Amino acid sequence: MDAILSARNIRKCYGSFVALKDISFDLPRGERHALIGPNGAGKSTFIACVAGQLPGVEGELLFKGHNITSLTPASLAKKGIGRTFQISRAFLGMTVMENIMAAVVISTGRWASLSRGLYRENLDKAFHLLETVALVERAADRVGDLSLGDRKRLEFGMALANDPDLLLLDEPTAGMSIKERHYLMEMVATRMEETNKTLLFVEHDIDVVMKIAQRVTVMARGAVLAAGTPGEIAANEEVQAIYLGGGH
Amino acid sequence: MVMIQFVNGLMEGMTLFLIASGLTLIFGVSRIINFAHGSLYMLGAFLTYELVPLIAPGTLLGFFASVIIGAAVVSLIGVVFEVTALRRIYHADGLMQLIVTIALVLIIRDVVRMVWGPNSITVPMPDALMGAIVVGENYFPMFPIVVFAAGLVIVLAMIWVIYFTRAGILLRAGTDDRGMAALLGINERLIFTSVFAAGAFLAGLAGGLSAPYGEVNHLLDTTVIVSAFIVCVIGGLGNLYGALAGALVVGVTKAMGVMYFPRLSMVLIFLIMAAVLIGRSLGRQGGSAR
Amino acid sequence: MTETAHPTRLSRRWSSLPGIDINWKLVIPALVLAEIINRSMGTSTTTLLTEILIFALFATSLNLLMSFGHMVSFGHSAYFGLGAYGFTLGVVKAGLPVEAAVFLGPLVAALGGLVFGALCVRLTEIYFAMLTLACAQITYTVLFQWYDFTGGDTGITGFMAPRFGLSEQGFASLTLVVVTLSIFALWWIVRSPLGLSIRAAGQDRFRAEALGLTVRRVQLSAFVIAAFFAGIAGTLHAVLNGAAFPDYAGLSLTLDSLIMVVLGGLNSFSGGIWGAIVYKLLGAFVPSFIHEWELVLGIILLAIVLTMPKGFAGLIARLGLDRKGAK
Repeated sequence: MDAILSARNIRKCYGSFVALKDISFDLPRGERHALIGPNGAGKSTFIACVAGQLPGVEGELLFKGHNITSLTPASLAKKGIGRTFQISRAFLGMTVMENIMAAVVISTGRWASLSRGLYRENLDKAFHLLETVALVERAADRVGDLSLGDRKRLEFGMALANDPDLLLLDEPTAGMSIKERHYLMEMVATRMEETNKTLLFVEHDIDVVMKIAQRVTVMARGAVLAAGTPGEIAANEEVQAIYLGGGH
Repeated sequence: MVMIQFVNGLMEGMTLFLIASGLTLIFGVSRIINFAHGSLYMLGAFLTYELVPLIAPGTLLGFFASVIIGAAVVSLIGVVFEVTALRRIYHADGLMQLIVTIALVLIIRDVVRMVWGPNSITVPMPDALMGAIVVGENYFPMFPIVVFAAGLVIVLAMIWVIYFTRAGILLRAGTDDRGMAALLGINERLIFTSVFAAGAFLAGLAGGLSAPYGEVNHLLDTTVIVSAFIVCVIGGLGNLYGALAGALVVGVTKAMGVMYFPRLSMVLIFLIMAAVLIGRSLGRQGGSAR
Repeated sequence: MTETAHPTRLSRRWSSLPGIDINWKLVIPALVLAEIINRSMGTSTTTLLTEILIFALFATSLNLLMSFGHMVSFGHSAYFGLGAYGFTLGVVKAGLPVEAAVFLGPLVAALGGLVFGALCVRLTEIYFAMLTLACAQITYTVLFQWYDFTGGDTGITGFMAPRFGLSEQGFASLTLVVVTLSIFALWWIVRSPLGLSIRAAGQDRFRAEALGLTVRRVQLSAFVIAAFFAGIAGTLHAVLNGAAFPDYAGLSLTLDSLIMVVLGGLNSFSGGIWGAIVYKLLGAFVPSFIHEWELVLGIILLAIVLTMPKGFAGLIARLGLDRKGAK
């Protein structure tokens, strides 16, 4: 199996509290994979580990066969891991287009350029990204004025700027209406399908998971409880007991 | 000579701790850096200067009484400032809060210059503290030792208040989690004001205690605040024990450094701070967290 | 692709960075007016004008860090002082001709910014501010105490004819040109991809890092650039007086620049310029009525912050002097 991401015995402790207990996990290239589980299961912690956000992670993370365990978020991004945050983190004081353009400029590696010609060279790409996430009309609006759904789509667009091979979405639909959720996640799924990229996302809305994910991993108390297709997971009694019973 | 400087360093470290602890406490609950803390220290020194001749001049008791009364007045001034100005901008941008405290620095400095003039004044030392203790061939000047001891008493009192009284529990709740404190039904405003009052009191105390041992003038505010900042950076903001360690390191280094590198003792302290900071950021993977 | 959003039309709209469009109809008459004032009024007005110009550049360089990089530097005077001393010592110690030494000043300031900045950008927010302050105080202390090299507290004087021997008016015109070009360069930088990266890093460093930006490197670049332009201001000031004093790197100058930026309005490019004008005019006229200038300034600051917690930017926006809306 050609795994784009392999986790080997990932362990993360906060003092005496063990947030992740020796997680091992393989993510095949091109798959759309959901992480689910009750609150405090360690889903977001795992995403943060993969994204290089946390210090003191034990174990080994392989991305395309290379060890990425101790890399910084910036170098992971350059290697092809894109992500969005649980709490929307677009650049609030800037316009939508500036956000996209910042992402594009950073993806070219020429952040220190003094030439505005760089904007012109990349305008088509930025515009295309805006089209992808259906925000062309809002290009000149300040992000602070956007709805949450628009902001999340913008973040998705920004994460696409350097064409990541693996996209990490941490609760991308939190706080959104049901309609917005499906809109965003179908957009993401379509894009992943078209470009044959890999998606790993944390999601609480089971309907969204069932519709979008090809495989699902269930986590509870820092460990992997079960993994399988959405159908298998839905039929798993253990999962039903712990996740559906204990999560809400 | 070495011993004298060492004792002087301990005293300076202790006064620095009193200032830095106030800064740290205030920062802990309100996330505000009180740039005017050095000004409050300076006010403490000037008020002591006014009070010493009035209250049993020359005696030890008179001196301490003057210092405490002076510090109480400083505390009151701090409360007035907190209630009228700071309280209104707790939720504003952090920079605005800094600017408000800077405004207070400017106001206090000009008021001090108006009242006491631009020249340095000297505060008489109580007679009982003039001498030195002789141990073998070493002379230990009395005054810094007594100030250091007084500082230690205050440190112990602070630890007692913070860990063993209801006020301390509330304070720690407020420091750890403001939302939690509100949930517990604690009056947030009251905590802010009391902590500001306590911090101002400590600063006034430090100013009064060290007043007889150096020049007192209207330029004291900035020199003191810079040293206090360095202490906070070394010790870690919001960390009381760190502040104590940092203050003693800075005080002693300054005093000892003067003997060997008279021109560069401040640079030495800077190097210590740089080493601490680099060490701390190397200890964090990526270094970007916080 | 919808018609309303054709790429070329879009490119004009999105780049309207708040508060940064140059209104040429305002700028050119302002420059002309400055030159007319310079030529037609007395020497004291000319000197005031020169100082306003120098401090407009100094405050704008700080504003690059504060408004766009969201890095509150509490020690920006260090680079003003390093510029002034770099120039002065270049003449006095290295024996450079004055014309060559003026280029040394800003370079020394930028070098200082590189050394101190490399340390400071390891920290964020309040720790960053404290460390910049400490760095500036160290600079000040060295300038103040190292008698053999820097002349200590008496500074260095009498090594050149003030203003290269130009007349007050002549030097004011030269300053006008240098400051205008420098501020234009800063404006260019803010609008460039580098400026966009600086703003991105300032707004949300985690987001920027997740996009692949090495935030510290961007912040260090901003720091060095700001130091370089502060160094130009410092050099100009040293030339104006034909002297350099340790106070150039002192805390009060840092506070001055901070106050200027806040007075003028954070989060707008022109904030530093407006702030320098307002602050220097107040400083020139208030003391002739009231001796306690700092007291008045403190009260003004309190009044401004307490009545307009978002700073002058909001007011300026309301008056329509600036395109930027209140944040």
